[in-house]
Amino acid sequence: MMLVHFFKYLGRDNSDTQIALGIATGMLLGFIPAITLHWFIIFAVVLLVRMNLLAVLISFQIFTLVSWILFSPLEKLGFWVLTSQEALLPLFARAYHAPILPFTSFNHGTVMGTTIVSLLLFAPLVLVGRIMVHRLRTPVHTFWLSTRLQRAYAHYRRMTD
Amino acid sequence: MIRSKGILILAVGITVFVGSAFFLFDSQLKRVLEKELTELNGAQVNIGSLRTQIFKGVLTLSDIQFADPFNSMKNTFDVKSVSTEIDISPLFRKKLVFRDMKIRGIQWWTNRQSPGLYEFDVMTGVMPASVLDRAATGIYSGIRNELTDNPLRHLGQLGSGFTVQSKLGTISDKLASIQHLKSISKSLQEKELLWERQKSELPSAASLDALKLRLMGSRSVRGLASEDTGSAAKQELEDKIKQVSTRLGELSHELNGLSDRLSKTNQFLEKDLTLVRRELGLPNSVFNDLTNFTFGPYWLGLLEKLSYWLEFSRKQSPVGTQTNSYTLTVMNRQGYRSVHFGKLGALPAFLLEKASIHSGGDEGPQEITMDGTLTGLTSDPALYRKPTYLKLTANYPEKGFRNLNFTCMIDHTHEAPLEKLDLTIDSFRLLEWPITRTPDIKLQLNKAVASLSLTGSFYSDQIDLTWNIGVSEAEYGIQSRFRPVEQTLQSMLAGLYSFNLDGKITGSPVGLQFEASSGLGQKLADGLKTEFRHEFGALDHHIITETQSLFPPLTEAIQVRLRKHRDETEPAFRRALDQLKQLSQAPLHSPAIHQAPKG
Repeated sequence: MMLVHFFKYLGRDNSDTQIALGIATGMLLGFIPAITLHWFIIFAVVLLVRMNLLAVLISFQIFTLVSWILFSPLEKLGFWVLTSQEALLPLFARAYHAPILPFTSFNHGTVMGTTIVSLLLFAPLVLVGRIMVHRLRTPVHTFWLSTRLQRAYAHYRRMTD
Repeated sequence: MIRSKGILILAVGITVFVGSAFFLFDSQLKRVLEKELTELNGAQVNIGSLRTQIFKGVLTLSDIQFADPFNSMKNTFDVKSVSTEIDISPLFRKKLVFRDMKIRGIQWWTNRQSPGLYEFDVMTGVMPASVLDRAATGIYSGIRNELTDNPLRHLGQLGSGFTVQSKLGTISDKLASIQHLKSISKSLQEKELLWERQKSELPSAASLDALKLRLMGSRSVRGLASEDTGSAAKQELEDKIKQVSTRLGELSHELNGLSDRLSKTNQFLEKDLTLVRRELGLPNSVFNDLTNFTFGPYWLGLLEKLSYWLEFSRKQSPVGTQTNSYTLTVMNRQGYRSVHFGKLGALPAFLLEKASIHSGGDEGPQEITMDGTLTGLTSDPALYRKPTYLKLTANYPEKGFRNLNFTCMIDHTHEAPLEKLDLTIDSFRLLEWPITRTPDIKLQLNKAVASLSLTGSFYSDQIDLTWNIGVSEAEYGIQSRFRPVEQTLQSMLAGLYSFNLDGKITGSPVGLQFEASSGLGQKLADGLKTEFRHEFGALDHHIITETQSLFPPLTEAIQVRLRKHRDETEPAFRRALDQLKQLSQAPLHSPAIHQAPKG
């Protein structure tokens, strides 16, 4: 039952925006490698800002898998951004020798690729997420109520209450 | 919008992280270092103690033991202490800069308290090779195959005889003589098609009669039209004679050529002899110096090990690419690439400015007397713009090791990497040094005193490595399953107490040139020729006889076909030519001539 309470706690902030924000932030955490400074900053934001933590958790799992599948093209994209744009070189060189910033490991092909893609996807995912959550909330809830798992849980609650 | 509990969790998390980093940093760093060094060593590396003084920027390690991968209760070497100054401010820029490292008290082959086996990850099932065994295998496979033709292989069987017949069948396609016969057969097959076509084009009896009539007509009728017809027929006849004559000449020439080629099959036997020996692992006696074969694989093995470390240094300290005003260094990590940016003179991600090595020899006989300096070891040579230098002198009289001088320069500051090394050792002991190991013979230097001089230069993929080893007081260990061979080798090498071994490896991995010569190699080659000449003679005869026994099916088939063309095709051409010639020379009388009115 601890697990049920834990999931209930995670799913507490459940407005459309909070769920959409949770999905988008989970995507950031899933895409960006966990050894980087900005990953920890995003993680801190998850703790500080009210958003649906269950959505973060599920989205994180899904996008970790997606990131793993797309590892090679994302790395190539990141490497291309790092090396092919001569105009960006002064910026990268400055950031590389600046304090703290190198801990983001932005100079790694994977980190750069995943960070760019996840940042580009963030705002659209929040918007699309909001619309989808608004539309699908009732059907999904109805479906959930019809599942055997929910009925078993309701039965259990009646017995214990 | 802000989660108040989140602030609390975050504050607790940060406090725990900072606190553990502060109190557990040394033990964590020690654990990480031990793990990394163990993976590098291929056997356990233990650090006695590790202490960091962050505010002073000092890191001190003591009693570092590098276990031996092959003897878990021994250390390959251990280091009494390593202390270094670390620059603090670059740490905030994720840069590790060691200013002055001091390595003190290196001992060799010490005992361990606990076994030093490497507990590798069972899940992966791959145990890394020890430091000394790592090699870039496969890159010199071309030359390695050449060097496996060791003439000392199966030497013992020379006396007892070989059965080559069954094995010869399996390699018959590679034999030059068989290839020669097959090529004759193929040429013959191609020519036969042509000859058959030409034969079918020979003038038939009917066409000859027609031609004859046309010619007769030209001589019997006077008139413009008939003269034209007659000259055309005459021309046609001449053309046909010429054509048939040429074709007959070509046919005869081709038949003679093929017969001639067939008779020269035995000329390829000498080539086959070498091939059969090599393919079947039989000894060879055509060489004047066996150094390449005896020491070659060993030296190539060392080159492969050296190449591993070259690759390692080129990977860890890669060359950079210069743009207009920036330098880019790309490091290939496991599965991804990281780019280091900077202008000339910018601080590299890793830099060991200077390390001094000193081992005094005052800790007992196991301690090596060693002095050395390492300067400019960096991850970004293109930024640092100074090559890495390692200079080392060592003495280890306990093991008979005197005056080692090692200089190494790693220059990756330009677009093509360059490494140079220079090693001289005045004297060292060789114990149980393998010269050759074959199923029949084990020949090694049981004991010897040697000196070494080695110079190497590696520029991009070009290798230039030369060495000279002077061996003296040599005692040989010779073992063979065959007593006569053992005795012969013993008598061959008796009195050869000292010799020089010179070698040179040049070129790129694709076209590597390996040259080596030594007194020992020459002695072995001479000995093979003189001591085993009768056995080699018998073996040669046996191989030739057996190879020749493969010829008959092919030669007979060719001969039958050649005979057929000599008996049928050639006479057909000749007959046709004769008939055409007769037609052109014979006086042609026809009724038309007699009946024609005169005037």
